[in-house]
Amino acid sequence: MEELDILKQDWKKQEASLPQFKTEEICAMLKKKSSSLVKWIFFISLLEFAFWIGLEVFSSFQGYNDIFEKAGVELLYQLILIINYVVIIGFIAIFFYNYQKIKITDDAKRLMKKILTTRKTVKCYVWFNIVYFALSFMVMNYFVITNLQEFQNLNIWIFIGIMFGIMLLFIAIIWLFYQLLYGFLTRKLYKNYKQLEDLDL
Amino acid sequence: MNKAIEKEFVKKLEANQNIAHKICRIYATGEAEHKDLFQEITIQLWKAYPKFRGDAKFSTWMYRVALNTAITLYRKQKRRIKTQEWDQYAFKIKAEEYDDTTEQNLKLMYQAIKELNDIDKALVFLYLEDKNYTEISETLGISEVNARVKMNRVKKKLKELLSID
Repeated sequence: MEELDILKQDWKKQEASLPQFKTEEICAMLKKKSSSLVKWIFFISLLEFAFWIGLEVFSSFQGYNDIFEKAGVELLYQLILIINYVVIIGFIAIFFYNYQKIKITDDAKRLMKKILTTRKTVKCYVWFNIVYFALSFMVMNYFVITNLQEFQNLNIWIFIGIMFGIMLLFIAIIWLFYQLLYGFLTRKLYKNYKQLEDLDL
Repeated sequence: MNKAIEKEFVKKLEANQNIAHKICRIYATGEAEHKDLFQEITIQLWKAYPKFRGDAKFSTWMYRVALNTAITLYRKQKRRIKTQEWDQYAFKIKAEEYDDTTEQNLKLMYQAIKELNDIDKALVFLYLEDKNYTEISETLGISEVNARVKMNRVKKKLKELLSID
């Protein structure tokens, strides 16, 4: 007889020896807070949205716009901002739509896929912010430097080099932060999803 | 939420709690973890309960939610409590029923299952619960053929693990 079938016989007999929780104990459990992965991902994602929006609001209050006005590129700056906000709103809408679709009564594979999709939306959001920030930063700098007299005798290539370096450092820090934050959170989920997917090829 | 609904839910869960305990038995190590996972399963069931339709069987629905909690949502707390006695509670009562070798073999088998990955554990659990391949494939979201193939592989893996021990 197969090993597993021997175990099956024992498995049926064990019912009598399983622990049993009383009604009051179960009622008490209902009041407890869930520590589920989805909850964690949800809250951290909200923090991410808030962080980037906060950064945006903060920088617009810092009066950086004055220099753009002086360089005559205010309109371009406004356009960059509007595009940014439209895209962010889009991301938030997609995030909530995906989140709504997570149902524990789905089959295991579908459930995992939906959680990973939700996660991916936020990941895209963060990368969009980084890339968009970097691009608009460079474009605006280019116009400011070429349009303003004060910057005429500055070596433009050294300036661009330094800016590029700062940007790379910035991206590296964010990437590292993500590895730490989500590494511990989604490692198990990702591994299990991969296993299910590999086995269903 | 409505008190009457809560009462009804708790009654159903209490009657079916063995399902959750058995999942904990496969996935959790030690008493603290067992209780922790059981609690998370309870919370998830309760959260999903408004969408539970009476036409499905509570136990069938519970299998799905409980297993999803164990392999997808549950995050182990970092605890280092060794509760060997708890792990072996199932063997205690069997002293009269089995001779020592059978008991020893069973113990080894439970240990081997603990070494499997989460998905394989789910397959073993569903097999032990006498679920057919249609149910297994529907619970995990894989095709029936693949469930069958995978099950044979898990059996082989268990055999290997046992021969090493």
